[in-house]
Amino acid sequence: MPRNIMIKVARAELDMTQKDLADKVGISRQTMNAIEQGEWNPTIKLCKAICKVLGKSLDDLFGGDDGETE
Amino acid sequence: MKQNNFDEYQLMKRYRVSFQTLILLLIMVFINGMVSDHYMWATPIVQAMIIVSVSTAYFVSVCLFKDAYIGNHTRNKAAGLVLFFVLGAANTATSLYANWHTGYVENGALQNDVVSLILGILFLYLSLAGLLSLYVLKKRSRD
Repeated sequence: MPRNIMIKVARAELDMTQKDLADKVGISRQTMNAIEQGEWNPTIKLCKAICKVLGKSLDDLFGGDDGETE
Repeated sequence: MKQNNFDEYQLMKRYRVSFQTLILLLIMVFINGMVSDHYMWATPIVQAMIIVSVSTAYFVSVCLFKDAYIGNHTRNKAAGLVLFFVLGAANTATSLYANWHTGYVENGALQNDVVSLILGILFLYLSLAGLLSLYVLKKRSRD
């Protein structure tokens, strides 16, 4: 599974660490790391929670193949 | 979003480790059955306690290693582990003190007195492993 760098970028824009984001979403830092590394495919519910905290749309963070993965 | 104690990734890891633990338990029950058929190495209670303790230790160790044992919203994570440590130390000490001269083996088989020692060692192991994993997690999130 490809890495999701869009979450990392959105997080960096808000100057948040993985731990900050994980705490706000209500998950562990390891889970957030697994999502960013592409090791875990989160449910739509968790995707929405991450989008809400980062102020982005689902398409921005988890949409298509162009741009958000490497 | 409802705040569960474990997130979905942790739950998935726990389910996986639970299944491995079940397989381990079944293998140990099978091997124990074969061995006890020829040689009664311990009383049935002790056999059961050892099998359950090893399975529990496996489940907790792997969950701790995969950060899926202690929930995300558990308050004062070390408190329960310290309680485990005290309980384990008390169990081990009283068992060793009570059986120091008599020992745990009679006619080549482990006797029921060893149960409290097994529980004591299990509790000590779980608490120390938990405290170590808390320390490692804290250190990792600081880095």
